[in-house]
Amino acid sequence: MKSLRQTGLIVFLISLSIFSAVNFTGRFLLTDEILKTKLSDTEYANLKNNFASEVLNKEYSSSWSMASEIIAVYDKKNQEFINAKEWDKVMYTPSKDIAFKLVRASANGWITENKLLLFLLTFGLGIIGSLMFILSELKIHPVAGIKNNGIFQNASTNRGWIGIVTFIFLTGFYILLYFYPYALINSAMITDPVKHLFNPNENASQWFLYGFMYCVVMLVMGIKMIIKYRHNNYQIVRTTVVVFFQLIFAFLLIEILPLFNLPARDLKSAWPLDYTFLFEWNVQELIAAGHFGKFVFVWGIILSLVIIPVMVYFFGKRWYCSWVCGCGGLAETLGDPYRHLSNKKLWAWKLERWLVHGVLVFAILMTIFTGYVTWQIIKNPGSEITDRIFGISVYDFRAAYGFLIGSIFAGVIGTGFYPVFGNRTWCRFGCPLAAYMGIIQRFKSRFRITTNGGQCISCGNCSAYCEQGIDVRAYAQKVRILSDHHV
Amino acid sequence: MPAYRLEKDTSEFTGINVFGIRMRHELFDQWLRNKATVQEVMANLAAANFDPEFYASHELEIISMFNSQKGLNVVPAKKVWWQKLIKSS
Ligand code: SF4
Ligand code: SF4
Repeated sequence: MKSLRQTGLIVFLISLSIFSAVNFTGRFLLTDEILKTKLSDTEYANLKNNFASEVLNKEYSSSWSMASEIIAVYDKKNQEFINAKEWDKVMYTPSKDIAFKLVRASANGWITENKLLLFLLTFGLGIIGSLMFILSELKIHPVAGIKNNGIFQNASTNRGWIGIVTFIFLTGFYILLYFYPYALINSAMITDPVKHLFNPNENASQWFLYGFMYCVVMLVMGIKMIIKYRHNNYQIVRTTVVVFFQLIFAFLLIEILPLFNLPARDLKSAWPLDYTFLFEWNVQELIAAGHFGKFVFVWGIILSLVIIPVMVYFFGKRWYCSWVCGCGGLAETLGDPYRHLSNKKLWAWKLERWLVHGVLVFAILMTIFTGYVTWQIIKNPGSEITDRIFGISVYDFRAAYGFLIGSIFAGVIGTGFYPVFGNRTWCRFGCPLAAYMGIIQRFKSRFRITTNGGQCISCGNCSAYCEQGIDVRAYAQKVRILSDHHV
Repeated sequence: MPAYRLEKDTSEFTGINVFGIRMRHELFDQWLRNKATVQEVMANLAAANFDPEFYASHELEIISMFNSQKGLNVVPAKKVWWQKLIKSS
């Protein structure tokens, strides 16, 4: 059984290496035809001469090299317009998106011809390898029950070298995904066979790749979670439900709704975690999408302002964080092996309260400002709008939120840092929805985490393995309910 | 079947072994201090359960076993459905 486990690990690592390595290869050729179909008319008119002299009909051997040159051309042209004060010509599509779609369409060669094979070699092998690794656990530890033996001696779970390598890999992946998506074009292409099951005419974007990986990881690691907690019915039911929400609401529905010309929205994602709710493009799209769109808009308001408080009143904030939320779902599956790395020091708890409530205030302000702009746009379409409030541009303000909170905090730090800070870093320190639910739970909820009388023997297991960094033992020793914060 | 200890003549409850079911410390503390009877403890066994949600509950079996061994007729204290729904623990 040990050898099955090791073979599984090797198979998994091979698949991961293939998945990463494909991005360093390939053949990319940009033609005028591609430019014409992929760019808008003005973009095409602005850029075609510059592209013709620099990038067109030149063969590149990686998506990165082609994308860098496209971006250089694009930025230079835009700068020229800005310098000449030709404001009506300046292009606002982010350069990384232009680069992504052009390079994506320019791909040819062996990767484009062998997508299915590569899919099997990466996702297929990866799943098989992980399952070998995970299922062998049933034979290695045949008795149900938590076994944390050696967790602080293992280099992957004690911030040892494996943990650090994992950290670099995860963080790197998120940085590329958010800021340099064109580096992952070949990886995205590998998921085309899956994307085509939904829509044969559309290719997988980086977000499809991410969503699909997210589901695969949650499913496979969910199985690991269920095996680890198979003595505990609560954990089995909960893990199944949270994986189900991810697969159905955050993935399948997102792929299926557009097929019926309906807006692709994750119906379980609630403001303020979903910070784009009042952005004008979101509201406009929803209003334009008929009854379903309006339903989604009203549902979003009801979810945040009625359902969440009522559910928190009865069941505590865990109903969302460990049963529904995708971020929580990933933390509880992929992140579970790192749960003991969360910091339980008193200063971490103080920092946590400042940060998480700070992000909530930031989110509320951002939403009010954005909502004001959106309201003007919806009410008087086409007329002048005020997009500055207290001298700050609303667009800059929300871009700052998206960058700092949405990408860096929730993504790069939140997930990338699992092997260093534990699996609930974002949830503890950053999530504005957690702050909002936390306030409700503290002042108006029937749900309390209690200790069971005076039975604590101060072993410290609870504190060590609390992923949210709660020093449970400190409460248990004093026989206190976990939300009277007077440690 | 939990082993319970009682004073033969008074039916006073003096201790319990619950075989892995988590039980509320405070409630037992109270029962012991107030010298509750075994019948009372048995009838309210469900209220003393400290297991997480979705765990199998064995109170009914335990009570019926107790009744058949002792020739008694303890009836479990009923909870209304909405009390179960909002049971906070
Ligand atoms: S804290 Fe926020 S991100 Fe984390 S599980 Fe809860 S709602 Fe989701
Ligand atoms: S409450 Fe925590 S420290 Fe106390 S006995 Fe239980 S696990 Fe150990």
